[in-house]
Amino acid sequence: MIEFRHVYKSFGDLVVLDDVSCEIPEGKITMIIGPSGTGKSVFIKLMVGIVKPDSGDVIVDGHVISSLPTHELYEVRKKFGVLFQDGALFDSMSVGENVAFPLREHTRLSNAEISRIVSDKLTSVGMPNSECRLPSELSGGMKKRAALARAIVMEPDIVVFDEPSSALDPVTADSIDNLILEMQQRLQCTFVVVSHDIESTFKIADYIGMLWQGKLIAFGEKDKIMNMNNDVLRQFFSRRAQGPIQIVPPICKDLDEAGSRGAGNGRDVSSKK
Amino acid sequence: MEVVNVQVLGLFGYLFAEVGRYAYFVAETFRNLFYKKFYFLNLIDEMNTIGSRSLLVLAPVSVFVGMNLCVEGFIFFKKFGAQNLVGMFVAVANIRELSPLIAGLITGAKAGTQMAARIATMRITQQVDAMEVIGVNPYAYMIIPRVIGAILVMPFLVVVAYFVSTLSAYLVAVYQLGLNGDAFMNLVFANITMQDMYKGMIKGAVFGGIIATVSCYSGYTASGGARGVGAATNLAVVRMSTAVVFFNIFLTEWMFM
Repeated sequence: MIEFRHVYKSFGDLVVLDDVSCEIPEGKITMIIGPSGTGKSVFIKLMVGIVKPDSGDVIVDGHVISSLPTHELYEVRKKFGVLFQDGALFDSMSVGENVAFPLREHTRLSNAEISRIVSDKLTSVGMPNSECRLPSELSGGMKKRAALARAIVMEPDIVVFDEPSSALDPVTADSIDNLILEMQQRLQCTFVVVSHDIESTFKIADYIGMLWQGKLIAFGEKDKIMNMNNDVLRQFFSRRAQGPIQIVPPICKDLDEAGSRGAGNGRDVSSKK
Repeated sequence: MEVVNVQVLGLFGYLFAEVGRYAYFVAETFRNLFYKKFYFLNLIDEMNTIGSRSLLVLAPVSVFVGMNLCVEGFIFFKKFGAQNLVGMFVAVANIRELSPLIAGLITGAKAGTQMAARIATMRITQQVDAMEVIGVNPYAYMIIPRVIGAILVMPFLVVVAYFVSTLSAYLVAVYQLGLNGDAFMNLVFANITMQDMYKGMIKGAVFGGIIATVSCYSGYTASGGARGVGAATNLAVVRMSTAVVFFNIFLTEWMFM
């Protein structure tokens, strides 16, 4: 189980996470949502120990991540499979070598066994016979599939996704959502997905946590969170620019005015200025 | 005036902070030398890359340096009617100063920038993070092979630079300046010892360490997209060429004074 206990993280004067506490349930899909720049990716980096909290603890299966010595941290990281935002495939290696990389580093399997496992994993993410292709030859969706194959090749206890559907067309994004659901049902392990895609959240989440202004303002089962009477959640779920979440104040102000006048879209308003 | 003082203090503060961060990076690199796994194949690959890439530029540059050195020496010694001593000048200046410096600067420009750009790209596209999450130590996997590779290859590049520049100086001395070839070579062999050669090679090894750690540090701390890769590469060239020339003074004083 993963637990955040009063975690505080800042970069200079910018407070990214402020007293964040939660327990991520085992064997479920937990979505961490929130507007851009609210610390969702930092949340993941804290979880896998790439970033250390200023105060508070991140605990993974009883290990306090921030206080582990380097060699133990690398051991705990073997519990994780991480799919980064753009896949983060090693561009000097082929797809097959990328997927085989964790196996070559952490197991003593023969080349034949590694090839078989790599082939199985690539087939399971819908990329059969693509071992020899280079990451530069793949589309965005294919990169994410290949990165997912690499993330699950060691059969980790926890799989973490950083914006799995960002920069993808709706059909590919939906296929990635289906893949996440299918993988979770097959592997029965803990999935943590960071996203701001509402459709994906409603489709695949078992649990939802909402980050806003460095705080985890809501965390719980999907139905409970969806029915909460909270202005921030309602604005986020309904994809409205008007509300407590003010991303770019001047534009939002314009849109507010336009909305109250019954005018058209933001472009019309700005062109009138 | 106060604004200027604040700017100067800010610059010194930045420099001190950078040197501190670089020192920490070097300390981490050495600490991870004893990590449980050593990537020997990566070391071989890096040695091949550093050597082959640098050699292609170093060899022709060394030809020109040798030719230039011979002509300059000839012009200077001719004032005293001692133009036959040009072989001595070429031998000493080459092995003690020019060959290690030229080898260092060319390797830095060729292999060092490649290291910085490669690692910066990996950092910015989260490949370094991915490596860490997979449970692979990035220092052990990609920094240490580059540093050791540069330290091992650089002494041989110094020797190559020395032989190529001395040969080109000999050809200019004999065929352009009309000096006696045997006298030239006798002065070369009479004025350098194997110790000079070893010291030149030690300089090369130190420069190799500086080039690799500075390049890797510049790449490893890169941020900010494609612009960050460019900035890291640019910083690597400036830092490593300054450091090589700066440390050359101390090495010369330590080894030859």
